[in-house]
Formats: sequence, structure tokens, C-alpha cells
Amino acid sequence: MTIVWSGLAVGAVYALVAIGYNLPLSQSGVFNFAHGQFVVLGNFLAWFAMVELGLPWWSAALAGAAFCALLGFAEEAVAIRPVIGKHGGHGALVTTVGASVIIQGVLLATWAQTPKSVTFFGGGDAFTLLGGRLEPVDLWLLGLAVVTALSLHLVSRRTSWGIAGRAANDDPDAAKAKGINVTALRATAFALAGGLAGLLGPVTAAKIGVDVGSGITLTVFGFVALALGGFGSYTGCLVGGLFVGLVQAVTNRYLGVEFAALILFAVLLAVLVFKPTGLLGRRALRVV
Amino acid sequence: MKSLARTPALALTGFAVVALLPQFGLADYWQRQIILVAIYTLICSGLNLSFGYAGELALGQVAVFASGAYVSAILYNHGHTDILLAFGAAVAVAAVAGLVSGLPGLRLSKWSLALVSFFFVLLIPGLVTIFESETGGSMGLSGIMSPTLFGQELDATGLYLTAIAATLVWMLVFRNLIVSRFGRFLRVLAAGPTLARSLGGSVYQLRIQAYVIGALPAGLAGVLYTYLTGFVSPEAFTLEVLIAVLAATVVGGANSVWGAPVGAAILVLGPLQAHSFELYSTAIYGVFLLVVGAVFSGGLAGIARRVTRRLRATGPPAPPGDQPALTIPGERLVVSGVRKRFAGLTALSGVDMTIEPGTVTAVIGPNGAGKTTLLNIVSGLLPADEGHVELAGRPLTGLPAHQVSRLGVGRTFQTPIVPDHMPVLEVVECGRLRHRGIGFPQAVLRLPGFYRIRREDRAAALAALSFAGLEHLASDDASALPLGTRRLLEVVRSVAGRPNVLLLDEPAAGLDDDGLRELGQLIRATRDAGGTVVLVEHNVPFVMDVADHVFVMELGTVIAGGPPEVVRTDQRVIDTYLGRRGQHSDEVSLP
Repeated sequence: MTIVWSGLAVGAVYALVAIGYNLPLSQSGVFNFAHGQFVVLGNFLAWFAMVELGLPWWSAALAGAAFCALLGFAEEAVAIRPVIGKHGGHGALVTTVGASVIIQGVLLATWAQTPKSVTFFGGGDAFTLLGGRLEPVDLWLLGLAVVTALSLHLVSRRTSWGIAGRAANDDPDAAKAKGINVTALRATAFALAGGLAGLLGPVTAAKIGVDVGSGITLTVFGFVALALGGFGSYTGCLVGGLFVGLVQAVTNRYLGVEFAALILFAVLLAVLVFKPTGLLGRRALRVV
Repeated sequence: MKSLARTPALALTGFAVVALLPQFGLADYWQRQIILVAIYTLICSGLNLSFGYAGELALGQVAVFASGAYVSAILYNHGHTDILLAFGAAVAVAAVAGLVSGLPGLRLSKWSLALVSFFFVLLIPGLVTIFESETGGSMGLSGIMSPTLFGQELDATGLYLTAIAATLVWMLVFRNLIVSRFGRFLRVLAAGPTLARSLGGSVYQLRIQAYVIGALPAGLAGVLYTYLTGFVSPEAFTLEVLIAVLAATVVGGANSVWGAPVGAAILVLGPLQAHSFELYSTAIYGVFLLVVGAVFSGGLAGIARRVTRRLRATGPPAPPGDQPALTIPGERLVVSGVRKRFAGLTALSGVDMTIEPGTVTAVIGPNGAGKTTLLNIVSGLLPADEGHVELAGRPLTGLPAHQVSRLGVGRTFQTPIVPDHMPVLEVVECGRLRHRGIGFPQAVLRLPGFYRIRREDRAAALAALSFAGLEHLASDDASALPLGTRRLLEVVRSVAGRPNVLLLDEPAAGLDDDGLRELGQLIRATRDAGGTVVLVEHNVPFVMDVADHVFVMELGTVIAGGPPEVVRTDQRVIDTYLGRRGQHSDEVSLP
């Protein structure tokens, strides 16, 4: 059971990355390659605010949220807006990879020069629950992932914001003709996704550490979570993320660390080939 | 293409000069740097093929590079030191790796393919650890020195010359492929899979070819890397390498042949030299990707192209001369009992039509009558639920779109699809792609067959262009033409392929009077040359003017058919489509 708990806790982080991918994706159809690095940046900001400046965790969370939201907004303005709709360009793909590399590169050249860590504000004493050992941060992460996924699920279904996003995603020109500000929707989604990464920084930093090296894993495993759960579905992100975390924990324990990525890759291929919509997704990717 | 046809002489000279440099006392250090340029050139040009030309961002290059490096090191440790053997084995493994990394791309596109192939890089350390007995695990394999060539040991300069030669051979193959039908098909694929299919290209096959061929040079690069450093470990194949390669590719110009060596040289001679730069290298690669991606999407090659285009006075590429009269082998198209439902909606409920060769047949009807669905079923883009389609007695039903196209169905689209930055003449030549295959060996080796096909394609394209009176545009950038001209161009492209039947999907939409007149002339000329033309159109006066036969559809069925003057007076047509006012015939008669 201890393995299950640790898998679920890491899985919650992947679920949160997947949700960060899904926000701009379902509001505007743009995939933000850089979101994994936003989470890494959120971790570093949490370290800076809590350890370096000695701020309380809640103000570190708010400051991180504000900073990352602004950065998300800036990314949309610089990397997406100039290339969107430009015919034939590989556009947004290259520029969001670029944004991801810039965040990584700046961190590498500055804060990442020395190892860093953040202790969890909710305490570090492990306790037993349902026959498995876990720490408070694990439970917090699970709770946060569930709450975020469910609330975004409801918001996207029930509010005009979510519905407008779906319309904009389906046919941007028709949506514009109906008076939907497609650009504003996209910018909001980028800012929200960024803000979410910054807001959760104090919690994720305590779980996965303050480390640039985690960026690539978050980027790829977050995508696996999104693909498994289904593009466009927030609850799918949650299910997919937890599943990826579980597979990773179980593989690490019984087969060895080197097998985890291989097995997840096989799972990803199987899902993409046999059920491209994922478990809960409605919108198929463009299939040939 | 003229400039590309001239480049080999220049490039060959460049390679020859570089190969002679050791004779003039090029220091060992710089020899090694130039081998590194060659290695990065190979990796980048593979990315050019799949990403720049085919438009698929497959980022598996570093994994393929690693596989080539490990293959040669393992061969060496088993006593096989011949570098040609290593090249052969690495290319074979690279082909398999390219296939595997590309497989998900058959179902996906764009960013999900990019991420799946990104995942490949993450797998390297795990795989190396699992096969530790052969790969040396995280410690790596060392002492892979002095390969042999035909039994002779290669010294540093020998390796240098081998690297230059291998790169040159690949670059020539690559360049020959790009100017061949294959390269053209890749650019069509990047413009849209639907267009590729309607021109007779199997999208699956083209993508697999692009991934596999794009992977080959990375395998060669891996061999050179192993023998250059004498050491292989998983640390050489990280994400940073991938990002550096991507940045070099984009800076050099992703959709160009000679952008790769330029980008690779900038990478090796610039960032990799300055140790003070190392700290900021990743951030600066990121800035490159962002800025070049957002502003100069053509990279340095794009800028060079723009400059040379401005310098060179643009004239017609070849004297048109007297074009042979164009004949188009029109055939009879029979549609019988075709039904199609989309979920609960019946789009077609039993359509029967016979379209005679050498006629212009128009299909009109209100929105939702099923006209475009019918065209899509005939051209194989949609499967019919029931019924048959036959062209010249051969069944088309159930065939995929690219085979339907190869059997003689040409078509245009409501929104013209024209590849970016392609001269008009080449766009028209694309219409010929459905005849015969790509001819890989002929294209790579420049056998006489390649030149013959190219001559025929060019002649047919020029004939089709002059047919429409567009020959003066031959060297213009097609994607920059106004909508009406691009519509005509799509018709010309189809005509150049001498289709047995030509399907036009709302060609008149959005055209002004001049455009309509030119379109009408082109359609009539196509028919007079023997072609069978099917026209789906809303513009009733235009249809009544140009068509020999008109079918009227409503709610998925044909409600009337006959010569225009008969259809125009048909009471049902007037009631359901032309409207009450249609009784006053001047409403629908010609202006």
C-alpha cells in the first residue's frame, strides 16, 4: 500500500501537469510544450520565496501564481500570437519548445547552479493510512489534484467561458463571428495554467524537489497522463496522471528504475494506436 | 528549382576545399571541429527532411544518433572495425529506429508526434542500463579508436576525409530526393494530407518514408561520433543535444537542403567553442527557437532565398514555345445507388448519375443537398454506405483516395490548397504525381528515367498553364496569388495530370466577373480537349452557361437531370430550389 500511496502522490503531480496542458488545449487548441518547465519554475519560485526570502507558504504561493500567470500571458503574446493562423508554419510547436528551453536555460544559468530544497509547510512526519505509509504532502497533492480537476471539469462544462472555449477550439472563425474573443480566451488559458503551476509550487517543490532535471520527466509523463486520460478531459487528466504515477511506482519497485519509462512508452503507444481518444476524451486527435 | 539545380557545383567545390584543408596544415583541433560540423550536418539534414519538408516534427533524431554510435562501438568490441560495415549496420538500425519512432505519427500529427518522439530520448539511459553487458551501462564504452577502411587503419586525417565523403554522399542523395517527385510529395503533404491523397500519394507510405529516410543520416553521424571521440556513454545523447540540433536546423532553415551545414557550422564554431557561453547556451538556444520560429520561419536559407529572388530578375523559366495540343482522356463516370449517413443525418439517399465523357456536368442544389459529400465519395475521401461508383467500367467504390486518384480522378477544393513558397510551374507539375511512382533509385542516382519523367512533367505542366493563359506566372510564388488565380491554378494542376474525370468543388465561389469568365473558358477548353468535367456549384447563371448537363439535388437525392434549358423549366426544380421567382425566367437566365 505504501507503493500505491507514493505512486498516487507522484501521479497527482503528473495529473496537475496534464491539467496545465489541457487548459490552453481545450480553450484554444494550442499545446503548450513549456508547461512542464512552468511547474519546475513554480518550484524554484517557492524555494526563493520561502527559503531565500523567508515568506510564509501562502504568500509564496500567491507570489508564484502571480509571476507564472504573467509569464504564461507573456508566452502567449510572444510565442503563440505571432504564429497562430500563419499558414504552413510549424509555428506554435517550435516557439513553445523555445519557451520551454528558455525557462530551463535561465534556471540552469542562475538558481540551478546549486542544489536546493523546500521542506513542506504541513510537516514531514509520515503516518499510516489504509495500511500504507505516507507523508502529509502526499495527501495534500492528491487532494489538490482532485479538487483542481473536478472544479475545472465543472467550470468547463457549466460556464459560458468553458463553452466559448470549446467553440473557439472547434472552429475559431465561426467562434469569432459569434462575438467570441478567441485571443482573449487563449491568453486567459495560458495565464491560468501558468498561475496554477506557480500557485502549487510550495506543494510540488516539497514532493519532487527543486530541480531542473525534473522538467523533461514532467513534460513527457504529463503528456502521457493527458493522452491516457483523453485530450480535452480534466477528469481524464486526473485518472491518467494517477495511473502513470502508479505504473512508475510499481515498476520502480519490482522491475527497476530503468524499466519505468519503457513500460510507460509501451502503454502510450498502445493507447495512441488503439484508442486515440484516451479513456475519457471526446475529441479525437486529428487522425489520418 | 533552377537555383537548386546549380548548387551541387558550388557545394562540391565547397566540400573539395574542406577536404583539402589538412594538406595545407589544418591543425588537428580544427579537423576534429570540422568532423563535428559534419556530424551535426547529418543529424540536422535528417530533421530537415521530416520536419522542414514533410512538416512532421519527429524529434527522435538523438535516439537514432545514439543507436548508430552504440552499434559501431559494439561492432568494434566484437572485432569488426571496418567503418563501412559500421555505416551499413548503423543505417539499418537507424531505419528501424526511424520506423518505430514514426509509427505513432501515422495516427497522430504535429505536437503529439513531437512529444512521443521526445520520449525516445528519455528511453536511452534505461535501455543502455538494461543491456549493460554490451553497452557498458552508465560507464560507457571506451577505447573505440582507429577504425579500418578496406583493411587499412584510418588515421586522423583518414577519418576526416571519410566524414567529409560520407556527408557529401548523403547531402547529394538528400538534395536529389528533394528535387525529385518525392520531395515534391513531401511538400504537398506538409500543405495538407487531403491534397497529398487527392494527388495520388498514400499519406501513410509518405510519412513512413520521411521518418525512415530522415533517420538514416543520424545513424551515419553516430558512427562518426564514436570514432571521433573513441568513447560512447549515455551522457552524450541528452535533451540538450536534441535542442541544440533543433536550434541549428531552424536557424539554418528547416526547409532547405544546404541550410543544414550552415546551421551545423554556426553551432559548432559558435556556441560550442566558447566555454563562457556554456552557462547560457540552453537559454540562448531557446531564444533562437522562439525568435526564428516566430519571425524568420525560413531561417537563414529563407533569408538567402528572399535576397536572391530579389536580385534575380524573374522571367519565365523556359521559353514556352509551341505547346503540343493538350488532350485529356475523358471517361464515363457512373454513380449508382450511393447512400451515405452521418450519424442520424442522411446526406445521400440513393444517388444515381451517369456522366458522359467529353461533357461538362454540373450538380446544383441548396446547401445540405449532399453535393460535396457526393464529390468526396467519388474521390474516395469518404466511404459510401451503399452503392457503386465506376469510372470507365472500373469500380472505384471502397478504394482509398490515393488509389482513386491514380485511377484517373482529379479534383479541386472549395478552399484552394497550394503548398507554401512553391512556384506556379511546380504546383502544376504536382498534378502529374499520380502517374507512375516516385522512382527512388532513378531520383537518387539521377538515372535517365529521372530526367525523362522530369522533362515530361515540365512539358505537361507548361502545356496546361498555357491552356489557361497563365504561363506568364510560371515562376511566381503560387501561395501569394489572389484567390481567383489560385482556383484556376488548382484546375490547371488537375488538368496537367490528364484526369479521366475532373471534379470541381465550387470553383466559382468568390470570383468576380473576370474570374468567372476565365474559369468558364478553362472549363470549356478542358471539355473540348476531351475531358469529363463534374462541377458542384451554387452560381446558377454560371452553371447554366457552362454546363452541357445539369443534375439538381435536394436532401440527398437527384430531383432532376437534363440539359440546362430543360432543367431550368422543370417545375420541381423551380419550386424547391430556384424559388417562385424562378418562374420569371429572367431571374435565372444569363446576364
